[in-house]
Amino acid sequence: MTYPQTCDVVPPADLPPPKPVENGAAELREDAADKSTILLFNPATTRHKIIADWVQSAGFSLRSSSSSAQLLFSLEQIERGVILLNGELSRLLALVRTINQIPLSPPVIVLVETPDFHTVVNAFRSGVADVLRFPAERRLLLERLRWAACEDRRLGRQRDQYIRSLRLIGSLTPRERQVMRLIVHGSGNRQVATALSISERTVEAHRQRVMNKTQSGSLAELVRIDVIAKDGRFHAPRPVPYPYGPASTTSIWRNPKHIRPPALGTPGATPIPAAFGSSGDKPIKR
Amino acid sequence: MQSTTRLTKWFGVLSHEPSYIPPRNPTEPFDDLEVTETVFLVEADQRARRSMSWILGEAGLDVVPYLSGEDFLSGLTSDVPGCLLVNLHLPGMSGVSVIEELGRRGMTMPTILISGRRDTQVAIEAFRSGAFDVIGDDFDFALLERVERALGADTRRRQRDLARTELRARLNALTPRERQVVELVAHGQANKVIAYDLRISERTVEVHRAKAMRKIGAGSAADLVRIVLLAGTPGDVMRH
Repeated sequence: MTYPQTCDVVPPADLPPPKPVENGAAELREDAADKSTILLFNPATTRHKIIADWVQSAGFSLRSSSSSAQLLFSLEQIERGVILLNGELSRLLALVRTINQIPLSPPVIVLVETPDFHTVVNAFRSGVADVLRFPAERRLLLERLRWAACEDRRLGRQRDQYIRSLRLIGSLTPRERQVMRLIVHGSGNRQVATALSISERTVEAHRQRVMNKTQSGSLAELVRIDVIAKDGRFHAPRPVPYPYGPASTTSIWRNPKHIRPPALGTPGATPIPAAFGSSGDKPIKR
Repeated sequence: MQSTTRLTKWFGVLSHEPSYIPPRNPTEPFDDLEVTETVFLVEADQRARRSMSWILGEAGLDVVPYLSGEDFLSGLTSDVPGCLLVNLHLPGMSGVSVIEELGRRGMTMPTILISGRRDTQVAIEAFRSGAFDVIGDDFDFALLERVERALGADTRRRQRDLARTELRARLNALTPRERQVVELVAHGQANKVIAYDLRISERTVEVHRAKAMRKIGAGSAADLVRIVLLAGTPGDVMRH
């Protein structure tokens, strides 16, 4: 996930949420580990081997890092993944906040040895997807990792489109970007020529280059790229709450009389909002 | 009166309020729509319920108290603006179950769980089931800050939904044929192609398109595409 720095698109503050395109139930499968990388951050190097063994035995590929800079670097290298932090929670929170500032960043799971109430609540408030006690059951950890990988997969399609749009717009020259901005807001060639004090022929040439560089065959596609580049990060799908799937905690707080939620894919299940506008888009060439 | 006259003499103004408030333009989206936010308070203990109602009421919030989770859920019909403040220990369903049930019903209302014992495991479970926040039992006015945050999150989401609903309403005002044409235009098809696809003449497509653009309030084809994208209309267009 490399975010091009050349783009000066400023996203507006208030935007409509994503449309639910399809039910993402089919995605919550056992093969969640495919193509997902676990980014393990383990500064203290304790229990590194056991976590690595567990993660790799479940089919995930693993990248370990012992410094936060290294972690952020490997975050740029992967396409889909989950961030797994092991260490003292209060020290990790700054890192968690940094990660969450990255638009559409992958979910973060924290392993804690002795969690206390305040730290756990603070962790969730700063955007952690889950907190697990470690050493814990192997099954529990892998279950949560699979869930997080599914979440990231739903997020990932949207991230791909967002990054693609930013890249395409970033490849334009400043003049071409000016022309594009006017075009996608409904100006005709003549209006663009008047606004920029250039001849209509020049506008046509610029327009042609904009269309070629953004790989869009029509005005509609150009507008789509513009909309995604501006709003893409604000269309993040709502996370699916965990309890869908096998319950791994037996809690006295959960009322036994209370029925568990229906499994995904059954008629009573809550539909999952999928990524924004996922149909008919070319994958990014890397 | 004496002092205000003096102030007027010195500064020339009485207050910072503008003397003229321009009338609202009915065509612009309702960004500043005033909605009353309600705090739903589910708490079995009478004293705690009273003190919390007092704290929140003093801050000018509307509080609706409930004695149990079942009471709250049975009275809840649609997605109402506001947030839920629920104690973990309740006579029937526990607080966590109430939060889970809300999530299952597709309600996006932010929920705050009050966990008396500050149990870590309970906090983790509550967050996993979609709670917005978890607080301990010994809150004072910190309660207000958390509730304000939850209400803020709710308002922001609601405003986004409102803008989208407004765009959707504009699209829904179209006739089925106009809608077909609009969706094909939004997919980047030329008039000629649309005419071929729908088996109508190109001139008819132009008429439909112009009518639709006037109804939607789009000044250009680019605006039309933008509105369709932001309204989130399903992309599958019926082809004959």
